[in-house]
Amino acid sequence: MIAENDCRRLALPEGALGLPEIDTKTIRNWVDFGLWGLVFYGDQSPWLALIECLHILHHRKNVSGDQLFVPPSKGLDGKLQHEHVRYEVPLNFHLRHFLFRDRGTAFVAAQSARDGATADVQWNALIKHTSENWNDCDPKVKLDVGYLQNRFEDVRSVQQTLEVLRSTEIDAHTTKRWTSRHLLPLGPNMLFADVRERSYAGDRRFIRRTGEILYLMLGRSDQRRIQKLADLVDRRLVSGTSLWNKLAELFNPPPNGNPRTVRFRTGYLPFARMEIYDRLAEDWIALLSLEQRDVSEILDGLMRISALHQVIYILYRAHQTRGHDGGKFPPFVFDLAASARKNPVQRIAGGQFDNHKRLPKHAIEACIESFANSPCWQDVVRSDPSSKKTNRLLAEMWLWPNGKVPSTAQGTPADRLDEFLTDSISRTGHSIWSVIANHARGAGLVEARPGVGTWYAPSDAMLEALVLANVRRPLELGEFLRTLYGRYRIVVGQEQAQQAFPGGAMSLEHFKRNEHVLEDRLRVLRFIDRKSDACAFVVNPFYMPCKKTGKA
Amino acid sequence: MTGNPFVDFMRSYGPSASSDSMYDEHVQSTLQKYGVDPIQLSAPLVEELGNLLTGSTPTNVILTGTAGDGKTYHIRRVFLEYLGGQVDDWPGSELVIKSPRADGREIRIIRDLSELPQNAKDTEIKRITDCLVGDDDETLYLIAANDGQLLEMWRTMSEKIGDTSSIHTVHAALATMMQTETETDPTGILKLHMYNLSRMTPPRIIEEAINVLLEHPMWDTGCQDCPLGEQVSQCAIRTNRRLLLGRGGNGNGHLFRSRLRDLLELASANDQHIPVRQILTLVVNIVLGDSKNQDDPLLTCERARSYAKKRQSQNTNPYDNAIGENLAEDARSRFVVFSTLETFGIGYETTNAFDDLLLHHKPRHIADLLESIDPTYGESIFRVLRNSYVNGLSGQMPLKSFSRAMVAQRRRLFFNLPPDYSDSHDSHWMLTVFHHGQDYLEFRNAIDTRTSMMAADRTQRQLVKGLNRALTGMMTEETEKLWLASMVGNSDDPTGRVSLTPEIDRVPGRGIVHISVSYNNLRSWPELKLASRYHLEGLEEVAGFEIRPQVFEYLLRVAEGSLPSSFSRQCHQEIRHFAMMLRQLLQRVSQSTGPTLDSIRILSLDADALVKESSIKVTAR
Repeated sequence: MIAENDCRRLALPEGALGLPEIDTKTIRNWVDFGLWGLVFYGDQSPWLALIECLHILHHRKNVSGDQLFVPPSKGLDGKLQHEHVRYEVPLNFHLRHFLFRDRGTAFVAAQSARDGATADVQWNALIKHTSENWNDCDPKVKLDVGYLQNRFEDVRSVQQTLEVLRSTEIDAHTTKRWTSRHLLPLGPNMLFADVRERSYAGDRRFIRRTGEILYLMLGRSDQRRIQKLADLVDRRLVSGTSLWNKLAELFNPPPNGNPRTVRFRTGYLPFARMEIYDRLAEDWIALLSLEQRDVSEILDGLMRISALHQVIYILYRAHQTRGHDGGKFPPFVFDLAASARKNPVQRIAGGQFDNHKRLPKHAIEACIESFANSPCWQDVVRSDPSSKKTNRLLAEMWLWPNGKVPSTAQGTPADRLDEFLTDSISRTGHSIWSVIANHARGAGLVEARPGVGTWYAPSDAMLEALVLANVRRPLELGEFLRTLYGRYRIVVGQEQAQQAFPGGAMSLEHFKRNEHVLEDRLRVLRFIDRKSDACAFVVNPFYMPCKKTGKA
Repeated sequence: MTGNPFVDFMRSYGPSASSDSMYDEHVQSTLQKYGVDPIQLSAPLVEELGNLLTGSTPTNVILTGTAGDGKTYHIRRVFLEYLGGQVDDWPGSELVIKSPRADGREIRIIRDLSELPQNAKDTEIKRITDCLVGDDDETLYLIAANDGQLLEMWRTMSEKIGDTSSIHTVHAALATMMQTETETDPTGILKLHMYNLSRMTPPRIIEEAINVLLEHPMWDTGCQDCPLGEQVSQCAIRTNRRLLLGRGGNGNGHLFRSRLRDLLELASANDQHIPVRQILTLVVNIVLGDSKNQDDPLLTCERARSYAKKRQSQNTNPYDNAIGENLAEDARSRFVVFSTLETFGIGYETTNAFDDLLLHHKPRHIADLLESIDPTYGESIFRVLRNSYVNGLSGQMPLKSFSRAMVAQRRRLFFNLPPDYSDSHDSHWMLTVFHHGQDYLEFRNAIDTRTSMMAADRTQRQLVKGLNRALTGMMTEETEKLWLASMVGNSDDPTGRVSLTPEIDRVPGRGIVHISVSYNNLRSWPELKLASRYHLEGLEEVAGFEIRPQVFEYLLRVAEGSLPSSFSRQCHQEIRHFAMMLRQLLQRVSQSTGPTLDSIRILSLDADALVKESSIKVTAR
């Protein structure tokens, strides 16, 4: 479970890559990060994870001109080395100011139109208003938006454009600082670094590496897929040809020096190869291959599917850490009726969700227990059980408590270990299990009701994403259900319930009913083609088969 | 007591619980029991199958279809009429019937593949596979199977012996053929002709079913000795038969049955398939249905006589029987024909004009006409309730029975109102959820036959208006141009006021593309597509927008300014998918033909509620 060869270094799982160059000064407890990676962050929504991933891809395509993905490569010692990926994210603060901080443009446009002012007067009003408004917020920087006159016909179109762009905001229902609000990532001009309000320094308040992990996962998918994926990402996601991106570009000031950017460096993902990476890449490829859909209508699916895979990754690693086959983590049970009334499937779906949230805690317990039995710990306890030495060991291997408690703290080694365990599994706020909950919510995997709790019940958008990612040739409904179980461990129908819970006492009738509700919902979404009472196909109307093969 | 044996025979076609898999056998023995000549519906496929199997280049045949489509029926007739089978050999004790061909090859006939025991099934599946892929030329198959089971059998087998075998090839080809609804394998690998009987039962078969069942000679001979004697005209069975046959005189024609057919046409165009067996059930239930005892919901001669003597007719209302009102709810839900007809909500929708006609007999001549067409189920069962309601005595009767009676009377209107009534008043379709049912049938017919194009044009304008309203979310009056407005991304609000592509002309005009409506012969519905004067890559590949009654109703109601909630989500989703594909197509077209799209159009309404655009150029000026 833990590589035990070196008791003076950070604890990493067996078989994991060595750490890249990262700053660990602020880390107070390494357990999560070693097991899952640095870092899955509970407060980063699936949209922000996708955006962060695109930050990197855009940098590599449009700034550094590197290959989009670089998998870990062999170092001088013949061992695989963790990627070192540096990237810069544009601030694009002119556009952001207009969109999220200064809502006065509409007012200026409306007022001067009402007054019947000439175009010049309107422009002057806008320029004056903007510089004053900016000055109020940010006296150090001057803002002159006179350049807009060369790009827009009149002030009204400026205002209309802003309105249209605002409609592309993601997570628009949340109230965040203006520097943490983001647009649908349709091109470099629609990407914003998440920064502090005044200093514009990256502070990773809402965008904290979950998307970097996503990027690393994609980059580590197998070689067969990576080229195809890179081609599609290049052509469809980062080429910047979207009209929306061009629209956003109109707000960029004329080039006079380098545009302001913020620099970052990616975190840590322990394993070089996992099957999950391949499936994630497969789904990206499937979605980006839907040529009958504009990319703006694919991003939503990418966001959801990526979040689902990240949840699966967390569960997989948790299950694995406890000594099981990671691929056999307790399955998802989808309740399609999304109703808590007299619905046994709902109860099972809720039970599985609670199980899943507990899984990482059990994994952490198992991890610390195995550490307790390890030679590193046992040697220290045997040779010199003074708190100084145990504390040092804990600090070196687990960054715990990393300066918070004086190294002379009292107590036996067993007490210290208990404290360490308690701290590791009782951390409130941003913990790995809150990532499961938040990702599941953000991706539309769960339903939550007061008095009932939270349970797996996919939204229509999530169902759509699953169909779009998994259906090319028409799949018989039963085959679709098998695919969901095979690729994501999602249980919907009778057959899968039987496999997932062999010998379970539950009534399979309810799963049969669940399957019917899925069909009903897919019909409303227009993804079902029923041929007879015994035969229905799940279809993806956006998939265009290659002409040359003639069949799917 | 004596009765017409044909009535007993008909009861065997009714909504009873007789075993599905043995249905054909069940009917055969019933025929013998009652000494009735077999009834035959036209089955043009029998000849085609016979020729296919006996001809010089025979091929394997699989019949699929929903239970009740007549798979066994077809096979039996081919066996008896073309393959020299003897009546006594059918069905026989063997599950596989062997029939030699003159050239020495053997035809193996399987009535139901799923009936075979596991071992025999496995062997047979392998053998069938060999024949289908051409490894075995000595054997031919004639198989009936349910499509889902067929796929399932080949899938399990392919899992058993690995993906690389020909079993897998057959599974994939069968799935493709079923999904794309092709009768032969487009890749040419399978030596097979596969027929889906569900696609071969046209709704008009109901006319034939009515004639075959209700004009049977035994109606003349079987009732001669009826103890009712002179009073035989009071017999509910004969009354209902007369109403459905439509020989009531007074210019009634065949309204009841043609309205039934219209309903089935709409159901079929909505992709709700009703097997022929259930069409027969429907006819039987209309004539024999009795709501008194749900455990035995069909009349016998004896019961009909007893009703006739008591002059009781409220339990045998044929219009209620048509939607299975005489059946218990769970029995009704087992029959797709009744659950389908129920979804029309006939009688639950109404207008003031209809209710005036029912309550106040306005206009008089229509009310009189209706009474003369059907004197049994109108005033005679409704008068009391109507009078107490009209005279304000409603407090003395349960409101529930009054509203139930109103619904039944409206149903009677639906099936009997003369066609010219709708010219001066409301269309009888206003009594259903498909207010535009008539418009749909006329539009479909116009597109199919390329006639009445003026009217079709008018409808098309309304459809375009509905689409524009659905896509822009604005109450526009635009009928000549289609705007593929959108919100960016998968916003929860599916309507948008921005368009990245230029508008599409309704009729050929200045634009590169225009709308074209054509008829899908296979599925019998019109489809909306894009067409162009130029050759445009990919234009053909975009699936057409299927104009089925549901979406038609939705669009026309939206065009009229109301939003039907019941199926709006599904329709909207359909429109959204179609618009997405068209947008992508137009973007591709503009990329390949230039000029590239360089502006975003912001849509609003002008003073005439037409869509106007103000475009923002995305390239710096």
